Amino acid sequence: MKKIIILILFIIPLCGCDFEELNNLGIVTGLYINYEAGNYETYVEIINDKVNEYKVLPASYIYEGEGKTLDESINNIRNKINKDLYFNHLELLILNYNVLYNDINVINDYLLRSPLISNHIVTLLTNSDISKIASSQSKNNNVTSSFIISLIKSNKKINTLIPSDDYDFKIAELKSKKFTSIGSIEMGSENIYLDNTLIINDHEILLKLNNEDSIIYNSLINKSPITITLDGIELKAKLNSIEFDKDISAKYSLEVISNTKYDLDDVNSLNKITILFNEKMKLNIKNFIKKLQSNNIDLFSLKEKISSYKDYDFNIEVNSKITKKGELVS
Amino acid sequence: MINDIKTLFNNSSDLIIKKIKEYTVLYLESLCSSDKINEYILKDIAINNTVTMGPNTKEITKKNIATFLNNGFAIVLSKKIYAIEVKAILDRGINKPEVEISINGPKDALEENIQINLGLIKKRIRSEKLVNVDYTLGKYANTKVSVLYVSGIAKKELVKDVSSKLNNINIDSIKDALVLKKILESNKNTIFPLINTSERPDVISDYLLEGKIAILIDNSPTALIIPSFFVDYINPVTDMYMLSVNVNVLKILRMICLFITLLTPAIYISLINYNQETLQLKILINFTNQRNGVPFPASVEAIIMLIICAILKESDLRFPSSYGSATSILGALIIGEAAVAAGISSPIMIIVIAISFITSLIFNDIEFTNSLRFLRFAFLLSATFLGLYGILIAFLFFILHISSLSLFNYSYVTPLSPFDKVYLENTLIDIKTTKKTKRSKLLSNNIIKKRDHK
Repeated sequence: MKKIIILILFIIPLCGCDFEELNNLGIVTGLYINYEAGNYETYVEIINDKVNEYKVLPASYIYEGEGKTLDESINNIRNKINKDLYFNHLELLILNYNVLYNDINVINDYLLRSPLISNHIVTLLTNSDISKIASSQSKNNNVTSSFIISLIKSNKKINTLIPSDDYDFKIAELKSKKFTSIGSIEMGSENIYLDNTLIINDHEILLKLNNEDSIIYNSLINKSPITITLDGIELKAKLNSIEFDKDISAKYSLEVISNTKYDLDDVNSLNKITILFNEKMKLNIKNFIKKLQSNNIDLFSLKEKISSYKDYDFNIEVNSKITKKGELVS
Repeated sequence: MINDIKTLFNNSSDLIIKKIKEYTVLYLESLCSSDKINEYILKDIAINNTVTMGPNTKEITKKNIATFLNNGFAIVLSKKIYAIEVKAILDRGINKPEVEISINGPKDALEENIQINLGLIKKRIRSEKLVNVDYTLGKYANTKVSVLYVSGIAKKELVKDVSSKLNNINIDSIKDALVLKKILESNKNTIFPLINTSERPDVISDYLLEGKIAILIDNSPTALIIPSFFVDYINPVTDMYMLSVNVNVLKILRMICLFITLLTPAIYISLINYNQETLQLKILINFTNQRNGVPFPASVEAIIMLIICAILKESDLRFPSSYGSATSILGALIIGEAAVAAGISSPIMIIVIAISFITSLIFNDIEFTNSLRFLRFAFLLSATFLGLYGILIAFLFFILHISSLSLFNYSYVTPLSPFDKVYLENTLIDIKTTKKTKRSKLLSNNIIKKRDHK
């Protein structure tokens, strides 16, 4: 009995006292930050956990806070609500370009210092008015952050923008001053829309990729499947492996989506399709790499291997194999 | 002499004294059959003016009169003293099992008569190797206790241990097998039952053939099984009447139920009070939504609901079955409907408690389910103060505790520690009956089950 009492006395101070009643939590799902004239403007999106039978209550509330530091601005928000801000389910962080120009690591440091914060946060940059983005969905009774996350998920299918939700990894990239990519979102005349990927390095936006480049980028970096239309045939291609050295060699597996021209039971036709695909991909990758080289962007850490990176002419090799022909109707 | 007997029995009202001719007949009306007295004694004396000596008639001495009277004999006093067996049949006959219900298998159960109980077991093990050693326990009650084992299978050390324990019992009376169970377990501080009980003669005979010992007590419809292990409570022997594959699915289900019944309320409390990040956002919002308007903290709400459930269970057990359904309906209405409507509890809490409660009903030993109930509260309290960390600490305590338990030198966590493959195959998992060719080494020195074909 004595041992048990001693054990209990030791257990209680050794554990973290982070008891929190569920209804006292203000569940933050979106954090929108602007930096203007030495001031942080922060907007937090808190889920409304009360519903009535007519569902007329808003899905979320946006609270605004200002301050010289991020902490001060968030504390100002804390003064406005009767709940504890709970960041463990934070899923979206949108930063204005100004935050990046000032120092994005200030935000990261603040967010990562607390263990009570999610590390799966999708980070996006914007050049639009951040308050408008934050409240863009309130009239539709949607949660803005969830709306944007679902936009990104559906966008994955067309491969123009895949922001990483591994926040720690992204921050590590930013801190090490590597070239990194980040998604962007803008406010149109009425609606928000996902813009193309930005390549950034050391507080600077170096390049905004166009649609085609974004597709190649996502294929090479994230191995996302891409859709390519060739002469009378549409293919879905997935990168199996890629090797970056003095030469670049990529291997793809192909799936036929539609075909009006080729006999897919004929070996020669299959060879012809793969050759066409290889040539097309080779050209796309070459153009993409050239673009990066001209902007002196080393996304694939090739500068360590090649001293004259900017002018180097890469030999690109693409191999492919048709793995699925689809159901053939004779 | 008659006055001496009257004084000995304190003028007990059921002591009947009849004088016919030169004979005086004494008997205890409550223990004797009046038909038998008329047939074997009164008729004989009235017609033949003698007491016929037969297999049920003994000539006794004066000092044994009380013992024979207490055992259902009539005493005839003349020049000599005769004791004639005229016991009334004081049992309710062989009934169906009420606790260990099984869809398949035999449907007879033990009753209060020890001789009938012995018969029910002996007709299943028709061998001279089945030994029953009788003891008389209780200073006043003089209850007959019979220790059964199969000679050549059961370990002699175990028989000796049990026998010495029984010999050392010094008590006024033992009313039931469960009282003896409490006495045998008394030096262990635990919430778990250490001795299994059974009301099924088929189950008892199966245990005996595995090398265990059964204790039958007169006036008790329950037999004690020694030794017993934790797994025995989760996997009843009646599993043997089902197909191995199906039984194994059932055994996995029971193990899952064990964890669900112990941990569901505790895990729910730690997730919503400490580790909210582990819940998906939609589930978290849903839970928050449901908890809106509940005036108590979640842990208090859980404790209240568990106490209400425990009260309902107890009232359901104690009430006659005709009232039982009324309490169930009332309980279901109060907990399920009114508590939520009144804002005392959230619907999710009802679901959590109901799951925890229903899964405990899969185990049919009442002592075992009571210990699970105790543990459920212990886990809940640990989760309330320390979250998932608390559950882990409580679970370690639980493992430590059951590992340290033993009775008659048998560890409670057998067959896991000490590991015993054969017993494991009979309990935790189920192999085909044709493959069950061995007995556990821990229970028997005679481990081969197969009969020699010469």
